[in-house]
Amino acid sequence: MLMKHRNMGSAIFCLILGLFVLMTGVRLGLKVDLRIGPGFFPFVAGILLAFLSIVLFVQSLTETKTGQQKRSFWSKEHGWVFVFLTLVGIGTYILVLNYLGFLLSTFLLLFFLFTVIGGLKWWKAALSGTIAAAAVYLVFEIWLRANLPRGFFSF
Amino acid sequence: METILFAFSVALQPVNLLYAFGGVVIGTLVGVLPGIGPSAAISLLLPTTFRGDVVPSLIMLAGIFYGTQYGGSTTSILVNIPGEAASVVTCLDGYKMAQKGRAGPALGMAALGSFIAGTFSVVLLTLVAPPLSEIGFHFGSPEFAGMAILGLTLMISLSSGSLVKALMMAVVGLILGTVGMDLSTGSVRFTFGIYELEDGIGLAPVAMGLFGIGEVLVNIEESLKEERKLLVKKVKGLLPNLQDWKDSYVAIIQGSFVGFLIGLIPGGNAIIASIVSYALQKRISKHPEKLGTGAIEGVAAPESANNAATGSAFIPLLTFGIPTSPVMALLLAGFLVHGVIPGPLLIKNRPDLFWGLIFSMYVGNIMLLILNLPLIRVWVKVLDIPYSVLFPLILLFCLVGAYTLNNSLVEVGIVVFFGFIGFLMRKFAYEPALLILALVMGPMLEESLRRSLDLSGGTMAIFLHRPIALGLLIVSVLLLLSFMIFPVVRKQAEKGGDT
Repeated sequence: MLMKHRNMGSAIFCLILGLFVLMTGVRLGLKVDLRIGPGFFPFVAGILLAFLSIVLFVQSLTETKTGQQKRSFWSKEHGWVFVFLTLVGIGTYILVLNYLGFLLSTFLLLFFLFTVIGGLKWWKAALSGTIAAAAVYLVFEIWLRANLPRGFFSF
Repeated sequence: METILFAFSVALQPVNLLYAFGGVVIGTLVGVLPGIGPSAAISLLLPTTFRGDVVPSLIMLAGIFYGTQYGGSTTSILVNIPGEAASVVTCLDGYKMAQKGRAGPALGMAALGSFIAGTFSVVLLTLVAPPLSEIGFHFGSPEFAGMAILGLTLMISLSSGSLVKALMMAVVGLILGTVGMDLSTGSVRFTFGIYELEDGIGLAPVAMGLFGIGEVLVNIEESLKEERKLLVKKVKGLLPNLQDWKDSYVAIIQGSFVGFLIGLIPGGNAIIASIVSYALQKRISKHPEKLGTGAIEGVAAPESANNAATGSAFIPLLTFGIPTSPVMALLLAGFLVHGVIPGPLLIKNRPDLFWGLIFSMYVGNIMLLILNLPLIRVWVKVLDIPYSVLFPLILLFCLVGAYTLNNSLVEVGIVVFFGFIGFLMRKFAYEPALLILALVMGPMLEESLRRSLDLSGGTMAIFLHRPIALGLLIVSVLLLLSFMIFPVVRKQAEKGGDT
């Protein structure tokens, strides 16, 4: 995918975002009792973003292909798998954190990341996961009294 | 004299010494480790300071910042990978010196040059900051609006890549700054019914997402399995000889001045300082052909400049309350969390914080020299830690740090969301640093702009009657126009940045 295509895609996204912000600004009110309203700043910012998005889109459209190399969006063939699995791991962690408690869910997340993404042997991952989860627990829960989630098992 | 004694009495308090030590150790570690920079490290550790006292907390965060500049040179010299961006140029001569068996003097000169320049910069900071604070007293809302616009314009102008994209990121940052309750009218903006967003989107979760998780996602996709090749396992003879000093003293002096001046400019960060200083060294050197082949002055110039720039970067923050880089924006958040507003009044209201922070940098620089010379062998060992072990820990720190902000999973969600956005931004060649800076400046700009317009009955004419504000706006417009009309200048700057 050429960078110009990426630019055109992101310009369309930002144009939609700019228009949304602009319209929300109008809805919030540009003036309230002769004073500047809460919608004024978002309104101006929305106009600017929409305008800049159009400029980027037109710039990209008129750009020649010379000098641009066709490059895959992903740097490595299966690069997306690592990113996807990491995000799935973190998403699951957020979902289970309040139920399983900090220590257990953190250990499971670290074990998953160390083995599946990092390629560590299972026993090394288990050991590193245990030490790291315990160390973070000590720093945040015991030292900084941060009240980390306890879950069903109360830890 | 009284002020100096007072400042040292604050900086030398055991708790402050301990936090300064912790800061510079973490900073050096972060500098040594590729894949995590000062912005990520400070955003990860920002939540740990929320429950502590403001003085030691900020001393630690500042220590991380200038500590990274010291540590960054180690990987540049030994592995040819900059530990952090400001040490990119150090690779050119530092790695060549290591290949010739002179890693020791290269590391030694990097540490000593950094110490000299860092101390020089802090001395100037001590002298310049108080009179600048006085000027700040004459600033009203229009002037602050002008300062914020000029700061953003300079950041945009000096950023590498597309000018339009840089502007877009700044505007997105400004929009994000409007999320939450509008304090003037009580209206709720862009919260989408999420109660936690009514206080606005915090800088810490956005920074942790963009710099922490975003960088990790890019690294695991691009280079997780790549091994670093350490050139030297044992480093010998760290102290440079007399000839090394003769070759380097001009580089250290010019690097200190160039770094200090560039650090003052918004957007003119340690990276630009090191590149400009290296280019200048090539111009003034009697043997420019030697640079790039393993010349020690090629290490001394950029390392001195990037350290001098870290000291002067504090001046706009401490005197006007204006952050000039993402790191300074994070430090601003560190101030605000404790209810302290940096700016002209800081020196009068919190002299302990103002002077304690500045003088802790003298102490910190000495600590760094002690840490970097004898302990360099330890840092070399740290380089052996594979990224596959590091990245889960960085992710964990981001997630836990975010949770502890408000004991809420919503904050964790925000971090992950911005982590993914940060990943996409890197893929689409947008700069996250500008978004962060605009997010911090946004509320400040909106408030001062609205106040100014309210004062003038809604017309922009108020800026015409305030010479300082008008001057700042004219400079901003001229700067932006100059980069649009003369894109050659910008292209040259980009080429320099790519070197």
